[in-house]
Amino acid sequence: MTLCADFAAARPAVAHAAALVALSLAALAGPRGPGQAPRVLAALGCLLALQCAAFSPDAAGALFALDGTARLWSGLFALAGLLFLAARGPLTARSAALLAGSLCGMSLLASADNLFALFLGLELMSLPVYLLLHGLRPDHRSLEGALKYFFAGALAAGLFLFGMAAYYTGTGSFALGPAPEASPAAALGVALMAAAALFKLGAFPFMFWLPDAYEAAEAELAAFMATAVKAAGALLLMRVLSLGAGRVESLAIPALAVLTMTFGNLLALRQRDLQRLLAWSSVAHAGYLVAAIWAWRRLGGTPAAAATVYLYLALYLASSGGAFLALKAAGVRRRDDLAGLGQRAPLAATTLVVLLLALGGVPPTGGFLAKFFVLWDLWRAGAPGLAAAVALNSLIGLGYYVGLVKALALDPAPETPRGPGSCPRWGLRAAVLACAAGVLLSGVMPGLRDGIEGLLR
Amino acid sequence: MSVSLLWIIPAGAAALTLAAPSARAARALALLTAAAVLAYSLTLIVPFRAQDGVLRLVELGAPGAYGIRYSVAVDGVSLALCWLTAFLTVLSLGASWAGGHGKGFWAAFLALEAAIMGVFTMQNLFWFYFFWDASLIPMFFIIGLWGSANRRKAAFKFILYTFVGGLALLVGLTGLVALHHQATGTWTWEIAELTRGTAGGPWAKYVFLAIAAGFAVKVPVFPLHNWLPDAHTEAPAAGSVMLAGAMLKMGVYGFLRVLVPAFPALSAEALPWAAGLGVASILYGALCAMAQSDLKRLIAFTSVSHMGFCVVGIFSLTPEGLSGAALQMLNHGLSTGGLFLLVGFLYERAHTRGLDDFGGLAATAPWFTFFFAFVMLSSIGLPGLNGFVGEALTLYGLLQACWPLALAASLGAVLAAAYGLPSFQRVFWAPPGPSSRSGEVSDMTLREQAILWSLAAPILGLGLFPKPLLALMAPAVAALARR
Repeated sequence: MTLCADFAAARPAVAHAAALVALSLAALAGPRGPGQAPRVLAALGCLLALQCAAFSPDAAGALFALDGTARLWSGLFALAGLLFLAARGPLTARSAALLAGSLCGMSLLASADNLFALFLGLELMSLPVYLLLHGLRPDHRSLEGALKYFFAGALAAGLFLFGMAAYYTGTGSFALGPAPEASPAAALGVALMAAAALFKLGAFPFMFWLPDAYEAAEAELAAFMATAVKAAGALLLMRVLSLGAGRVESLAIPALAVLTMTFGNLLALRQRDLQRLLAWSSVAHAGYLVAAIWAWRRLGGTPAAAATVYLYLALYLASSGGAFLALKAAGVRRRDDLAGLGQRAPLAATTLVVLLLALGGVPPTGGFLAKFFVLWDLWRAGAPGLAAAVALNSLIGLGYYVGLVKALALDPAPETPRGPGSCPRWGLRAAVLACAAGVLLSGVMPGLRDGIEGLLR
Repeated sequence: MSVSLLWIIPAGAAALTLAAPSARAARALALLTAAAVLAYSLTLIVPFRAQDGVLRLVELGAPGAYGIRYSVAVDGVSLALCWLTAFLTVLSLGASWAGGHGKGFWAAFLALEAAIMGVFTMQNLFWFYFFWDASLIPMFFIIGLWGSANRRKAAFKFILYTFVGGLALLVGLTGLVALHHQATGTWTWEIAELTRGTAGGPWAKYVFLAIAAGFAVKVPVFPLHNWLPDAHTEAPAAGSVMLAGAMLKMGVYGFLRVLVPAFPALSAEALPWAAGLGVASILYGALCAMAQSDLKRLIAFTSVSHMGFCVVGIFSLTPEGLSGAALQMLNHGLSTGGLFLLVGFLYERAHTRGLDDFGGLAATAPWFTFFFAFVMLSSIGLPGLNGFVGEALTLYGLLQACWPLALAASLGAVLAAAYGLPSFQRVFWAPPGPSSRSGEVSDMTLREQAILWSLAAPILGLGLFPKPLLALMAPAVAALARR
């Protein structure tokens, strides 16, 4: 019976798993080259997962539980998958299978109700991404990036396992939720597991792998990593911290948040390669996220505070993912290629401006709302210092986001246009437009946060 | 009759303009929209008259978390500022009619109008700040894309400077909400609730300072004015009109609507400092204006000087000073807007703005001479034209509050003549020098004359009959002065 209940509770993951099985068979038997069929199949899996996330009743098994949080996240992951599939052209069955596997892992992570299930989801999510990183663009740089990413991921997995063991030693339980008893072993376990989550999130000091991996990845995959994988890391951190971490949480987490955002922003200021710049900017956003998660803990883990984190994640997903894709659509890789984009490709330039302003947290985009609520929750959580750090870092961030806007909108075009040239794929353009429209429209809807809160109750 | 339409119409039209089939269609759509918004804003006077109270035409949205809710309303001051914004938008678009601009230009001006209208009508601080910051984006593009030679640097400086000011404002506003929560136990962002004088305690001082700094950057008050000369000089003429005419008013409006009513006691305490900085702006702006050799830069510095009168009027906290400040906002919008338009027209012909690059224009361009003299005299405060009434009222207000400062401020009126008249003399009457481009200046076209006539009418009207407008703004001003 519990097996059935677990299947019911992990429905979105099951949808992806079905796609995974079909695609694996296709990879073994079907044609080797890229085609539309695998892409459609994986997209069907995403749509099915979305449908399950939206309409399945609540369910709980031994390992998994489907509740408001799980639904919301499974839905977001499926959307991120769809974004990847829309933006990426024809796909080999093998790559599509890897993507479906990764999404399956994310959905498991979302509905996990137990440390084991959490670990299962974490590993299933991560392994395909290493392979995709090199597989989608097989060259030396992506091999280097993938290896770095793999070793970092293996280290994170090891930390998580050690943490689990230590936690079990201290409490005798693998269940999620507040720890039954406090002990040094349990605290050590939580700290180790939180470190693993910070690896996935790309937070200081566990972000050394990130810029190389993001820079070497295909734009679509970089977008996927910067959004879905990072969001999964945030979810993991929230799950782990809700075990209760005591001192670690009150001291280390805010310090790491400040270091992460400052480090990411300062390094992003100097980058010439745009994908690398966005990578560092994603580190900075990881810092804001960690701060928001900390505020969520301080405010007692209420749905209201969780809604703030989720709103931030959702809007970050749209703006950062959209920005990676927009760069690809506009055909620019380096900062110098941006000059004159406004004249060359007005539509691409406009969408990119919207997405960059959203990343910078400027009204009238949704990025402002997201950042505003994070600041507000930090303030309510009694951390004006952390709020000030976020505010000042936003200002540093604006330095390069607005700098990019200036470069692409105002600077004159060079004599000879450089860069790989724009990518006319309509799916890619539609994905970028959808992201830009989303962040622009959400800007005038502060009720969105209340809506998310309603979903969680 | 809905006040929200004042920002919804231009915002929607901005999106439509971008999707227009051609730049000419976009241009027509933009001008039509601006004219429609102006006409609509003027008709709002009918329902406004029919209601009582300070805030009228109230619209409320559903309440949200932490007291963030959509709520708009106007009082006399904000209604007048909406008129000014709508009017100046029509004029600037009309003045740019023949500039050959693309779709983006027209969309940016409509977006700017929408954002400024939002600032003047929102009664919830969250939304107020939202529009406040949103207004920077179109202005950034207006300066950076369609400005003159140094436009990129000026645009970057403008946006970073004003973002920092915006951040100070956000911190301050959040602090104000928190102080209110401390005192009453409820979260609200409604301006009407926050301005009941509940904010107090040891932190109030810092919150006051943060908000004041945020607004002061926008006004701008000396020594935070640094972004203004470059932004004004490099912006296209129409952009300077909107920047000086409507955007600077946002800062003064913020003082009137948020800062002073939320902290009446602290504002009274701040009088020597705030009015002192106002006087410093008046004198410094005037002295800098005297030293300029670029017409646009000169007008930019006169803006600093004139906005100083608004600041001293407000912080005098007397009914005369406050209504003078409110009136001075409108006056400055009209006369400085007119000056920027005129310089823009000259620049289109001669491609220079140097004071010494003209000379003798009075003989060849009589319409230019007439309008320039007219608007310049209004700007320096000639009795009978609008500028005089506002400045006199603010000075009278300051005289009651602190006479030495009033004495110093009145020097500004003298200095105004000292920069206004000689510069006029150099451009229009002096014999043309060796570098003179006066020969390239043909007189104003009918379209340009029509624009200036439509400006001259309210300039003269407000100079001779300021009473109706003062009466319109009186309830709002009285509510402030009573505290």
